[in-house]
Amino acid sequence: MLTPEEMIDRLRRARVLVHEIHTGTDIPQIQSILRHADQNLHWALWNLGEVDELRPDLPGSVVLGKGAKASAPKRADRRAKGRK
Amino acid sequence: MTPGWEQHTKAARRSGFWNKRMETMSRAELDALHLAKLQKLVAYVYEHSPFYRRRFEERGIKPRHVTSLAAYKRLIPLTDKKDFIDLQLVRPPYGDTLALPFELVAHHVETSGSTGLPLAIPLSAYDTERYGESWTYGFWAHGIRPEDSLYFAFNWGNFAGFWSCYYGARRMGCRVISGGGADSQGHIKNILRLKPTVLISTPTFALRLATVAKEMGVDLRDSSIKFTYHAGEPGPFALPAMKRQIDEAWGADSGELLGIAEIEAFAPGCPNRDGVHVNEMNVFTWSMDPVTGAEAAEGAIGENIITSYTNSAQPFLNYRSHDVVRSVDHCSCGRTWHKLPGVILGRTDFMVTVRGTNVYQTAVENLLGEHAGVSPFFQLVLEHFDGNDQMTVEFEPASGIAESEWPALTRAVGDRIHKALHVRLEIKPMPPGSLPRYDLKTKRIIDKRPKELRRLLDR
Repeated sequence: MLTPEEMIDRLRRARVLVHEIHTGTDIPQIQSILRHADQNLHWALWNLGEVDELRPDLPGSVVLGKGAKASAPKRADRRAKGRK
Repeated sequence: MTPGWEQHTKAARRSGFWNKRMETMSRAELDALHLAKLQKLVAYVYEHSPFYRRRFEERGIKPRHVTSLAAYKRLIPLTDKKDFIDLQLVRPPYGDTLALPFELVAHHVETSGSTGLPLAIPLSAYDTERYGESWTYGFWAHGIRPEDSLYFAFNWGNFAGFWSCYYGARRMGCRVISGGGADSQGHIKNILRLKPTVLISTPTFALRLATVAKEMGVDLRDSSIKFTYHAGEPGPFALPAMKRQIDEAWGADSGELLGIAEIEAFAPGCPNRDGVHVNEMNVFTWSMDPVTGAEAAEGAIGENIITSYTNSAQPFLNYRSHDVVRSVDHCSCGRTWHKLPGVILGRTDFMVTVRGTNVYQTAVENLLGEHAGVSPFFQLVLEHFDGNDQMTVEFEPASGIAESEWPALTRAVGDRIHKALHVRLEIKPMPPGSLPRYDLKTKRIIDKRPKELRRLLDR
C-alpha cells in the first residue's frame, strides 16, 4: 500500500501532467475531460488533508508539493522537445 | 463482461469507513486542517465575493487576522439566510453573494421555501461533486455499496436536497432510478417493477408510501428494498419510534442524513444509528448560545454555526443554522468527527414560551414520534392569547386505534409532554387523513401568532 505521502506526491504529479495536456491541446472535448479529471485530483488531495486553494482552477493551485519529484513532467518536457 | 479495473478493491470494500484516515483523525489534526482551510476560504471570499468583502471592510477585517479558530469564530460576522435572500431580491438571481463568474454556475438549485421565500443556490460543477460526497460517507457507513440502486421517491424540482443525493449516488456509482412524475401508487409500482434496493425520500413520505402500499395489497417487506435513507425532516436517527415504524413497514434498515440545502448535506448518519457526524472535510461547525452569542462548550446544547468549504459559488461563513444541537467529540463507532446525538434537538426560530416555559418544536415532535398510538401525521399550532403563546398539538391517531380510545390517548400524550417538558399543552386528536401530507418537507408548525408579538428569532 502507498503511504499518504506517496499518494499525495503522485496526485500532485498527475495534476501537473493533466494541466500540461490541457494547455497543450485545442480539442474542446479533451479539455473538458481533463478539467473534470483535475477537479477529481484536487478533491483527492483535499481528502488526504492537502489544502491548496479552494478550487483547482485558481492561480497557483497546480503546483508540485515540497519535496515532490518532478520526474513525470520532465519526461513530458523531453518528449515535447523531441517532437519539435 | 468483466471490468478490467475494480471500482473498489476487496480490502477497500471491507472498510467500514469511506475514508478512515480522515474520519478518525485526531481532534488536534482536524483543527489544524480547519484553520488552514478557513484561512484559504477567508482569503477567497475577500478576493471574490463583494458581499463578504463589504462586510469585512465595514469591520476592518483582513484575511491575515484569522490566526486561530478562536479568531475566526470571533471576527468573522455571523450570516443568516435573510442576508442572502435580501441581496437576491435586490438583484436576482444571486445578488452580490456570487463569488464566481456567472458562467461557472453549473446548477441552480434552491431551498424548499418552507420558512418563506426560497433561497437561490448557485453551484459550480465542482461544488456539486463535493456536495454529493457527504451522502457517500453516509451511504458507506450504512452499508450501501456501488451495486445498490437508489429509487428517488421525489418530484424533481429545484430543491437542492435530493439533487445533492443524486450527486452522491453518482459519486458512489450506484444505479439511479428517478421517481419524478409518479404519484404514491406509481412509486410503489415502480419499486416493484424496477427492483431498487434503496429508497430515498423524506421519512414521513416513506411511511405514507407504506400506507398506500397496504391499501394496494402490497407488502413492502417482500419488496427489493433493503435500505431506506432520509433527509429533510427529523428522521430515524432522531426519532427511534420513526425508525421502528419505517423498518417494520419496509422490512429494511432506515438511515438519515442531516443537511441544509444552501450549505451542504453536511452530517451523514452514524453507523450506530443514533445520530449524525459532521463531515469535517467539507464544513467547519461550532455551537453558540443563541441568546448570549457565546460559544457553547463541547457537549452543551447550542445553535449549530456552519461554514462550508465546498460552496465556492456562494460561500457561507459562520452561517446561523438555527438548529439546536448537542455536539460531542467522541463516538463508539470510531469517528472523531463531531457527533450530533439525536440529530437536531430544536429550532431557535421555532422556540415558543408557553406559560414561562421554553418549548422547542422538535422536542414536542420527538415525544410525539415516540408515543405508541400516534401516527407520524401531526402539527403544532401556535397562537397568542392573553399575552401568552399557546401551542396546540393536533395529531392523527395511528390506524387501528378506535375512536373510542382517542380521549385516553389524548390524555396520555398530554401527560407525557407535561412530564418531559413541564408544560401542559392542548392536545387535539384529528380524524385520520385530515392533516396535510407533504413529499418535500413536512410543515409541522402552523404559526398564527401576530408577527409583532413573536420573539425576534421567530419572525
